[in-house]
Amino acid sequence: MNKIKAVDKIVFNVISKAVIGFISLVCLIPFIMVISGSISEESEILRNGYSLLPRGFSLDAYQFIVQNPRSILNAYGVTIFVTFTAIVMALFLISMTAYVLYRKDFKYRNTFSFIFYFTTIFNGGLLPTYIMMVSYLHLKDNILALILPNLINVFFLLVMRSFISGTVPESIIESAKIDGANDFYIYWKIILPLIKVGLITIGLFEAVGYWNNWVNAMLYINDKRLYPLQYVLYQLLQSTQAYAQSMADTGGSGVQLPSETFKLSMTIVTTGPIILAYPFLQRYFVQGVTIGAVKG
Amino acid sequence: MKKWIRLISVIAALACALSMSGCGEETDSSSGYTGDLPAAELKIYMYTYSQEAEDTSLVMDEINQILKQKINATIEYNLEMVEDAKKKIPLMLASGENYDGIAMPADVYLQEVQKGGLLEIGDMLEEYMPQRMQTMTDYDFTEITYEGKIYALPGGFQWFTPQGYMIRGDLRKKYDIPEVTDLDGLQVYMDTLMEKEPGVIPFNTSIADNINFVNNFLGAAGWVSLGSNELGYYLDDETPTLCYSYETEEYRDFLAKTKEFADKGYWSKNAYAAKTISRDGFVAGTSFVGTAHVVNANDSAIVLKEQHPDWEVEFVTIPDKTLKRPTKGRSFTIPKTAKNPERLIMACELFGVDPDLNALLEYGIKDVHYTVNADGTIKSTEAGASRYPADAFPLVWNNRDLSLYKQVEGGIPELMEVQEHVDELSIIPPHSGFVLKTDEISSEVAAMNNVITTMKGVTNFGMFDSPEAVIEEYKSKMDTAGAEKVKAEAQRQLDAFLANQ
Repeated sequence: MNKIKAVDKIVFNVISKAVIGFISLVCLIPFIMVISGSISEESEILRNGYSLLPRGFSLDAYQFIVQNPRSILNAYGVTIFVTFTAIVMALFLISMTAYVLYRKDFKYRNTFSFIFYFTTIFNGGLLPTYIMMVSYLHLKDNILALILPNLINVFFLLVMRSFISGTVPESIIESAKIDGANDFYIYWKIILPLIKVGLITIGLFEAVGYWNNWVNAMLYINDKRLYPLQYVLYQLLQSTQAYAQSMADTGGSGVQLPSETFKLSMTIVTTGPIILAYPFLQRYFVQGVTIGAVKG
Repeated sequence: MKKWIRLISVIAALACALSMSGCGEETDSSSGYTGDLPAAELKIYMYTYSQEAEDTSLVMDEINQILKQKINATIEYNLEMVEDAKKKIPLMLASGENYDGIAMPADVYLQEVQKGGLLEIGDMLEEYMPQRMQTMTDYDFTEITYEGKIYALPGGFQWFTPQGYMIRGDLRKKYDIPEVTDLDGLQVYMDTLMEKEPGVIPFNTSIADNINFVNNFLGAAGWVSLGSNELGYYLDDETPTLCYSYETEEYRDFLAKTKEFADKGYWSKNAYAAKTISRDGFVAGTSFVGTAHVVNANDSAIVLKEQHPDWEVEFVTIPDKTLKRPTKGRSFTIPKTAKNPERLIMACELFGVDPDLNALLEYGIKDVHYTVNADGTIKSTEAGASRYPADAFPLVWNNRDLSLYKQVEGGIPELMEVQEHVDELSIIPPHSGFVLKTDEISSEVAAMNNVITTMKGVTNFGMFDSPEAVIEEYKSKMDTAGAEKVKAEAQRQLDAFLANQ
């Protein structure tokens, strides 16, 4: 009997690992192609297209980035500042709001929950948001325009609320109150340390979101010094397509286009750091997602 | 007590929100008088098709110095990618942002004029742009006129040449290939080079490129397109009767030709999905043919003259009937909220008539980006080629005037002849100025556009078994999308338009 179970286990393990291995390989292939493309010879790519292994090894594209680092370094600075500030602010606001909505003695918690939830289904749309940001808040060309719009993500807020109710028993809050702690003290000293895993998970989601966001820069930023990394990359990738269109028209701008290898190396340079963050946070990440998910 | 706390919370929340709205900078528009024209800062929004040139801001500083002297105004510009511009312009106009001029892509123009956010400038043009207006013809106003009123500066831009093909003259002579004047000649050129110089894809084009073989068949037969939805009519029709391109006899010939090209391996098998631009490949030496607009071909020839002095770039326009196209997408419009509309029009006049300003826009700063040869031609310097290449500035400035054009060393020598040649072939179609209003048929047009985009890759690159089958497929997909309804509506609008002419 035990033997059969052992065989079962082995077969299951082999199949599941093979399937998961295959899926992860498929996910990995585009990224490998980007890396190998970025270290290939430009002319080889034009001639033969992209391939899994680099053809004609060349680091010209990276050299070009290193030689002209000004805009990229600047964009790095903007992105890092925006991501870091946004994570801190977002986690503070989301966790505090989630905590308030979790407290059963907060009389209007259902009303507030509904108001938050309502905005996930209906919102004003792009035009009113744009008018509010530009005409009323005067945030055009202001770095806050990159931070404020996505600060409280209601989905994360609701996840955090269920996470708190699954992790923190109400009796802890009661006993803290009996000991004389006020509400903010309870939130800061008791709740926050208990929901560390949830904070890291949502922090990672937020970090990826902010790191990859270029739409806000497109809408609200004209000053090149405030361009985040992804917007610089987006512009590079867009230009080929738009350029072809202009050629069909009446003769477009003659500015030299970024080469294929340059575009690929830019992709590596811009996505690298956020990918490197994953392994360090993975432990919390898996834990956080599952705990939030199985709340009963 | 609780009530008080609640009240104070609400007030605090409101105060937070209101204080936020005070963030940011208010612009100070106060300025002192200096003579007749008060000093003005013109704020303009332009779009570009690729990255901004490195020295654009340097050139702009020079331009501002001249403008300051002449009309006591300076320009603050905002340059963005065309795709972003299309998204942002409607938002900018709706929110009343302060701009004096907005360069408007052609497809956004009509939509914004209908919304009513643009200033009608017909009378102002006569007053503030008198010299340029003398060179304009009625034709220049056809597509910027909406219900009898003008909402954009006329472009007056004559470079309406369509695509042509760059080929290697040195290789052509080396292998005794006759001069290329038509598609068959181009085929002989590619066949020979495939045989003699193996390993290179003769025409390394893709869906991202703009090949236009279809025009060599339909255009040559006098079929003119109404716009972007594959509808058109024959010029010799007494009363234009609309039909779709795939319903014509010539379309079958076009398909037969692209299939032949594909079967022979003139382009890569993944041209349908790839993003290669044949002009880039031509410059990199990985394609023997590069399709390009004559101005772009000229730029490439200048670059290649430096890199490969032994190459001889030839530019071939394969004759077909070419439609004259007005230039609404190349001009500024002025929002109703603009503070200095007249000054913007004056500046645009100067860009078209002042040789110094014109040269700054076209070629950059003298002795930095270019030098002038004894015979009056222009030589681009190394700095110019990399930091302010020819034609680096967007063309919305109303600045293109052939009388001010100077030949650039290394460029296509017969550039002007090519231009004149195509000018002779060009015709103004009867429907010039007609715009299809799609309010009633918008969902059908959207569905058809999807079909057209998909089928273009298949038909342009000969990726099918037989022309008959692909025409059948095209037709059935378009019919499902609502092609008949669109045709009937377009015919109705066109008839009404022509009756009013």
